[in-house]
Amino acid sequence: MKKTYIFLFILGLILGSCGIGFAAELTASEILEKVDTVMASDSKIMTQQMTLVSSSGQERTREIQLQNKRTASKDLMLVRFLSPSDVRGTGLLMDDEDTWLYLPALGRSRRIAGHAKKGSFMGSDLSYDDMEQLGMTGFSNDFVATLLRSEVLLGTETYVLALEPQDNDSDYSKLVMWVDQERFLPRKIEYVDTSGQLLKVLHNESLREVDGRWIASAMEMQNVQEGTKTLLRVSDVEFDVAISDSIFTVRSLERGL
Amino acid sequence: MQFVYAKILKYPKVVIAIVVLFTIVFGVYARRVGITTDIKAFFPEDHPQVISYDEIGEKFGGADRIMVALTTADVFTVTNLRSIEQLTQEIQQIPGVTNVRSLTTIEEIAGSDWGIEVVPLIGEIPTDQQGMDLLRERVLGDEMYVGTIVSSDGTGALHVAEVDPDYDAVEVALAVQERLSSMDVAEGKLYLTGTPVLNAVLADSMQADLMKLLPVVLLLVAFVLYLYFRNFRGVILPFITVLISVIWTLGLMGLMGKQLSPLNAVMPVLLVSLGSAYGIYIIARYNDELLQGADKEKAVNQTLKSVGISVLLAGATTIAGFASNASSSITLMKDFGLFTAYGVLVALLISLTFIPAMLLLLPVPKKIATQRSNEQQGVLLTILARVAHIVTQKKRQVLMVMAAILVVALLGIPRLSTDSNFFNFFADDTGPKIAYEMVKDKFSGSESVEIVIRGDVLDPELLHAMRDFQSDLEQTGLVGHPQSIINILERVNMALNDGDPSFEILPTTRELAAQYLLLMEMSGGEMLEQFVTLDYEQARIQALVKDSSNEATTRLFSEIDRLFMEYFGDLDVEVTQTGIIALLDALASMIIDGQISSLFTALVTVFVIVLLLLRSWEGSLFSTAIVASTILINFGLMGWLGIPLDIVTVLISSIGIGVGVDYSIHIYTRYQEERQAHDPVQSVTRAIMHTGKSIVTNAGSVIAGFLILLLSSFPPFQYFGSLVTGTMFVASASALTVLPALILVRWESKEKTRKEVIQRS
Repeated sequence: MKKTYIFLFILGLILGSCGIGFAAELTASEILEKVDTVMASDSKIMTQQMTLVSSSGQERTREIQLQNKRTASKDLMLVRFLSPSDVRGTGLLMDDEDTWLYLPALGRSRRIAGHAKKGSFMGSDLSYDDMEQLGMTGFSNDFVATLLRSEVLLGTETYVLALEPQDNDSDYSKLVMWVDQERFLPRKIEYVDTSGQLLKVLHNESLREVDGRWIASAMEMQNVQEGTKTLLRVSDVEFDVAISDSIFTVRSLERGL
Repeated sequence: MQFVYAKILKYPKVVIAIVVLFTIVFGVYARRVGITTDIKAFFPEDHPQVISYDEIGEKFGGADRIMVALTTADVFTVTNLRSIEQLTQEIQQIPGVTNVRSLTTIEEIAGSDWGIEVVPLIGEIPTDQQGMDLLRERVLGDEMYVGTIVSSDGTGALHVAEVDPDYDAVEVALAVQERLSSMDVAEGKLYLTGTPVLNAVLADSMQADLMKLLPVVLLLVAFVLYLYFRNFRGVILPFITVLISVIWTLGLMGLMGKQLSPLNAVMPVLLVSLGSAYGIYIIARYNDELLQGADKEKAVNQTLKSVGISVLLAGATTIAGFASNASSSITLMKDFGLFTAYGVLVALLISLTFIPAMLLLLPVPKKIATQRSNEQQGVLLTILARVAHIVTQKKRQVLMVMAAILVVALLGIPRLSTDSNFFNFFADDTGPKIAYEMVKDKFSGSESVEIVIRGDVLDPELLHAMRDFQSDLEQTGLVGHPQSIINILERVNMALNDGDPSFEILPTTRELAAQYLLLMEMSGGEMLEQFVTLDYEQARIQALVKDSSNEATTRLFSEIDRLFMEYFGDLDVEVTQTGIIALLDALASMIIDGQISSLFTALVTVFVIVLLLLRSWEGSLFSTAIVASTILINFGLMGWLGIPLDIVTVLISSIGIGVGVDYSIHIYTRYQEERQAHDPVQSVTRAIMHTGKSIVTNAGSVIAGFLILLLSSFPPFQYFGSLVTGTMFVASASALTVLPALILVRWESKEKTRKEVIQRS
């Protein structure tokens, strides 16, 4: 009996040191931080096409211009619709507390309820939180990572991370992220819901380098439970541009395009 | 034929072994057969109505709805609102339920001085009386909610659960039923209804009904057989025959993945009461042969030779009658016809192979009962003699009486109505019917009409057409308040204008409409998905149907057609309407079309079969005419009594033709036989006297079998049972009276012509 314990202890030591040795290269949180430096930005102007696909295959495509900025006190975002023509000029302004929508056909802007932010981002399969984590804040603030393994995904060497949310408020119980070992960009993220079921899968494709950082110019978020998906295609993006705070005001919103 | 008989006589054990083997195999498959009550099963898969119906589910979320109603003195109390909240949560958790609409989940578009928001109708349950009164006033004053989730007097609340199209709605309904049965509400009473629920209950009680009726009809057949033969083998052989026929038929259904349905649930009962007759003829003749001194082999041989043909003939017409349903466009009716035809064929084959084989193997019975006591025979014979006398003496009067009856029947035909409403399957005092009627009374109804408009949904012209269409539709009084994207757009407009009701109007430009919808999406309102597709190319208008009776829905659909023309005729759009009610309506018209075509097919087929076998134009024409009149009388009766032609009663004509023609065939064959030695009047008399006996016995046992259906708990089966009984009575009675009269009249006129020809020459 005793021998078994000793054996297990030694085995534990060996395995443990292996783990440490591995981690000495890069720990899970280091990997995630690198991901964040690649993905997060303090300010950004981006033009993208968003296509929603319903479970029965109908599509809706809209083109939007998105500007965001992180200040010391809050995160700011301004979205303008470029097409289709019937919503062109419609604008959405968001800060941490409030959301305003400007409807050019009405000539007025209106605040919309705060809880709207809890739901999906403009009817897509991404939530506002997903959007922020992917494009602005990164994941380190919200998740604790553990390194599961290394794996080749679609011909790319990746680290596979398990991300557990830090607060209980999250929509997810776990994220599994495949991180490109060279570019530190997630190639795939699985979102697991609070009941332990796979909810959504994100794929990043068409990687390209912009201003010295890698971006995925095509993203696909698939909701496996609903059978819907959202395609995002980035046509134009600029990082770390100086955007004046006055852009993120109702008055600027109401100025339109 | 002779060759087959020789083989049977030579290898009886092989015949029996084959039959046993097949029975075992079919028995295994028979266990797979369940009961389906899905209305879509009635339609071919590519029927346009089914396609539209499925599309609604796919594009806008479930079209099948389960409804749970709570009735109480006042919905607006803390206790009752809590009950509603709890019920909603319970139902929501059931797998297959996509969402539950109730007072506690419904969202409203609220305007405020700073903007708009989509909020729960009841945020928090008010705890003080003033708050509660305000809530009641607000909810009951809003046409969006009254009739759909709350009754106008505030005494009933409805929970509407939409079923995920990927789930079996009946399974989900059963799960809801189970969940509710383990729940208690503090006050009031719960009612469960909606098509999936009715279907679930229907499948259940139909199974119970079958389990109840089948033993009774088997027992009855055994009893009749015992009365007739007074020995064990006379009971057991025909009995085994019908059991085998039921097993083979259900087995084939299982093998082909078919299910019993409300329409063919009577099939096993039918097979038992019709299938036993063939065995009776065989055994009776065998006994006769033995009595006349033949040995076992010779008796069997002789039986097959003499009775074989007439049994085959009787069987063939019955099979043709059932098979005529194959021309129906109603899938289940086709199935019913073909499988019952197959079952009768099996009974026929078993009677002609298995029974003779068994008779060969079994020892000769020690004592053969002479069939009936002389006294009984005497009564029957006296009656038949009286009939023969009347028919031969007053043939023209007999025909005139029949003509008069036919005229009366004909006058009843225009009164004939069709009804494809599933709710008729429930007697008035049963749970599902009570719940259904209650929901109909307190709310707008439980079933909806669904209108899909394909076109440029954001086009203001189309939006205004939809609005006018909706308000005119509501004006007809046939539906509750219709719901669509129109109501959402109007509410958004009102909310954006400080909640001023005078702004509950449609946006005037395409841009404004598009931007309103965008606003709704941003606000997290998920109600849009139910009413418009992602690409804004299809919109749905939903309205609960107040009265789902046939007359009301016919009127509703013609109104809808008229309004389609009026509002969408000039626009570049495509409009369709569907829903359970529309499916039922389509079914009703298929019943009529199917009836006409199957009636025609059956008559022609029977005519041809009889012609081939009797080789007499006159006999074939007369037999077919008699059976056609029988059917006419049946329809007339249904018209006068107000019994609708529904998915069950529609089967009567094919059964009536297939089975009813046998009596005429028997009389005519006997008449032909007698004519070789006697004059027409004597021949007719002898045919009535001799064949009449077996006709009365046969009709008696078939009628007894069908009368069992009166014990069913389903009104359509009860109607069916009594109508078939009536039809069999008319068919056998006319064979004994009208047919001989026809023969005599025809013979006299032929004779007259012949004499004239002779005189002239």
